[in-house]
Amino acid sequence: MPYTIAIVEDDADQRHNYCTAMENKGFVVNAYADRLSAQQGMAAHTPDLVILDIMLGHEVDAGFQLCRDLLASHPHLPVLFLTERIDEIDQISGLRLGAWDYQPKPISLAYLAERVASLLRLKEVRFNPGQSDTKPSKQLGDLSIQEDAMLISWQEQALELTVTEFRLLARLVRTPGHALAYEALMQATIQQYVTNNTINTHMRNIRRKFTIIDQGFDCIRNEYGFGYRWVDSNK
Amino acid sequence: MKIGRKIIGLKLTPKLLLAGTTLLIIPWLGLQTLNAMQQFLIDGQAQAQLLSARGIATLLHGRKDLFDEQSDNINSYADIPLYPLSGRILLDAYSEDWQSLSENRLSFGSQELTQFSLLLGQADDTIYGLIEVTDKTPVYRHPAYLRLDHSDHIRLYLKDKDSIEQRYLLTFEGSGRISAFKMDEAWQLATPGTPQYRIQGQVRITKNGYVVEFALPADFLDPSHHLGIAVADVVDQGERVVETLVRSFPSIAQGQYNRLIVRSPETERILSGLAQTDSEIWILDKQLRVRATAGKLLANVDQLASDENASDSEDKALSTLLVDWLSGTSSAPLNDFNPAQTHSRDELFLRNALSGKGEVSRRSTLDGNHLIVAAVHPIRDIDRQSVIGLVLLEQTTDAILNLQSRSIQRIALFSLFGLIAITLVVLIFSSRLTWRIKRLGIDTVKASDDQGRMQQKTEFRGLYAADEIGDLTRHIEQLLARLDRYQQFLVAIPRTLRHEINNPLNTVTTSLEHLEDQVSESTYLDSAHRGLQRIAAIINSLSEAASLEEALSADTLVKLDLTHLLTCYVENQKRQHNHEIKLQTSSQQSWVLGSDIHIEQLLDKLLDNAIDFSPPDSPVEITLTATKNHCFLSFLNHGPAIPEAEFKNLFQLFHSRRESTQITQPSELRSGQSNDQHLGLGLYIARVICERHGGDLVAENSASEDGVVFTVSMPLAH
Repeated sequence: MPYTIAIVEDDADQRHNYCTAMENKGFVVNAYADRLSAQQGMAAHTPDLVILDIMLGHEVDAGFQLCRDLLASHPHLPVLFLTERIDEIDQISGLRLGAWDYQPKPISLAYLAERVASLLRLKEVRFNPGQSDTKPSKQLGDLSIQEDAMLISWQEQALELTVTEFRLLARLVRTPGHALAYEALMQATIQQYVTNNTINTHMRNIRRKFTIIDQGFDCIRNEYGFGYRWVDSNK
Repeated sequence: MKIGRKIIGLKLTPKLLLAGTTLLIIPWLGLQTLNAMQQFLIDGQAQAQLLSARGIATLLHGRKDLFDEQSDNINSYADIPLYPLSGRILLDAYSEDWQSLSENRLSFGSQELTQFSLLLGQADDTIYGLIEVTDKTPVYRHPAYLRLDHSDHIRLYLKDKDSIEQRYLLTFEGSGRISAFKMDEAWQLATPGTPQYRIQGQVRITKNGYVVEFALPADFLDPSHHLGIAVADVVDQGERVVETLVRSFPSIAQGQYNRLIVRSPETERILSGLAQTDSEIWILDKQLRVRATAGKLLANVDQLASDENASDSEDKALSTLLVDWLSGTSSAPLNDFNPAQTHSRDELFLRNALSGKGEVSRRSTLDGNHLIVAAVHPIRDIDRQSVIGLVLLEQTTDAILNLQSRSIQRIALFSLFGLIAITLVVLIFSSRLTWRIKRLGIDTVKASDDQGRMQQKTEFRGLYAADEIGDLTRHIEQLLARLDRYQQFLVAIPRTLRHEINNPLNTVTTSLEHLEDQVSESTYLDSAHRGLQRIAAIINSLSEAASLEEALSADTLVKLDLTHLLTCYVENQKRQHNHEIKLQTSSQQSWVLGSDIHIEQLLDKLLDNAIDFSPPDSPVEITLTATKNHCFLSFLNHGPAIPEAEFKNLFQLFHSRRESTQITQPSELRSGQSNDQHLGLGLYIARVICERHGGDLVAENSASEDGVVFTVSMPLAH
């Protein structure tokens, strides 16, 4: 049975483009242009995943409100924000509401599809274990990483990373000890327009999350002028 | 005034003080008033004196007896003044007890012949005489000779009370007492044969001759006081003949001897009651001879009074001298006609007064130090027509001048206090004003940084002052608040723009993707993609630059080794760039407080900039040096020099050194690396990062003129 994806986007052209792309991938798409219709529509047919814009018409925070309402009734519903509001503060409040991912516009439809698929797979892994075959978790020193479930722990404490952050870290630990160029990291984010600075910001956030658990965390090293490197803590 | 780049001129305080000097006009005006007042007072004094003189004249009205007969038959030949003597004369042939009178002695005879000087004075009923004879060959009286004319002697010719001519001869036998004899007509023998003991005297032989001092009872003379004196000189000791006879009068034949000018004692008695301490009364006869005087002019009545406690008046304060000079007062001793020694006054206004009219005159004293007001009034005869004498009343203006000098002192004192007070007030006021203006200036400067960015939290002090400076402060505050709002609007533009542009950009991107599925020919799609990529990159950089400071302050600074970071960075960059990069570091470690990713960003910008402007075959040279407290990181490229005028704007947002046509070159479009450069963001970002690290970024053309150096300076962390 195909997944149902709800798209809430006030811009008709973009909505149409998303719909076409998602339908091409074999999803069932329900598209809404404003908050009220989205609320009513999703109450009638609960989708498997929601793509939300934040600003809808004149309602500045309609996306956040929708997210809050949806997650109240469906706590396991993956919500993906896709918005032009790319300030860090918006991203933080979106993720804090319980959204699974937060993507800035402009986005590549191919990347969008990939993200949607990955989120759905994650949902399967997390909430229907046993139905699909999951790879066992990988151990790397104090780090334990379970790629399908996007679960990561350090010294046996779980870390809350965003999808992008998880992808970056997963890419980094795939080749421990080797420097990874910015370009490679950029590709790992599956985002449209990424700069060194974006990578740096993400890395800074990841580090911060590690140091909350472990003050002495120093496995992510800058490779100045090139990229980053994961250094195994045991070595 | 603007001289070169500096503005030169007076500050506010000196300006106000300069303007305040006009206050000096106040003491000057006071002085003018005082001078006018002085004139008025002196006029008043003159009038008062004239009235007094008139009163005295009235007192002496018709008293022709006081101006006795001697005024009638005038002998043009020298009258001999008979000076009133204040005390008795000791007959010792020395002139000391004559005091200053000895200056007034009369000379008779000539240089070639015998010469003598004569001084006569009267005290009570005795007439004293001092005769100084020049005689190289004195011949003394020989006791053996009966005749008295065989030696040097002095002859006195006089008329007794009954106008009978009498002859007395004074002779001597060397220094000592003189002998006086009544003589016969031939001046050869003494008539009674015995000396006249009422005439006494002393002689003293000197180097040049001899001095005789004698006393003669006044009652020997007639009322007209006729007296003649002659000195007989005997030269030859053997022959003993009178060779020369020097007389004080022309001829014996005429029987007219010198007349002694005598004061009128009765008039002086009348005057003595009128005498005042600071004025002189002179009574003159028609020939302007002094008949009587009373009173004495004193230098400075005030000064005299205080002389007792101001014995050291010589070293007077400069201020007193100045005040004296301003008021015309002189405390120098007064030296004028001595009433006791002056026997006649001959001044034009006195002559005028003889015609019958009272007059007032002003003159300086003889020494020129004091001003004297003289009032003269004629004394008339009973017939009220003819003038028989004059009353001259003289008084110094010292009293008035003293009054004035005291006023000047007071004015000077008050002016001084006033000036000091006003100066103080002006100084305090102006320094307060200056301080407020300075404070406003400081606050205004503080409101924005070097790049003109408004600083938050600028608090203006003195915002509630009601005056114009308060107004100015409020206006500036309002202006800055408006500017701040405008600047915030400008700063918000990139972010707003990004928000607004991202939606249509997304539409285009997604639509383009769908097109890709439908169209097999991809050339145009690719170029459209690149265009989109560029737009997105530009939007990104813009907002990144705009929010850079925010991002920077969010980063905590940690201690890191710049040498290590730089070495690492350059190693990695060498692998990625075709361009030659040379690195030179002077020290093993340079620890700075910083954010590594931003320092990396800074290196990116500076390296990109250096490579962009570097000719393809020349290296970019990176040097890291350190001093005790700072490290210096410089990027040298051998590209074209930067014009002087451009340095100022080099680090400004959106300043680009490229020609606009270069931007559209396809090769650069493809690279995507140098997007920041084209927008003029790179160096701006680099500078902001430097400043965040407490450092500085400076660009200069290299000394050898073949390149440009960008130097970062950062404080070292110890």
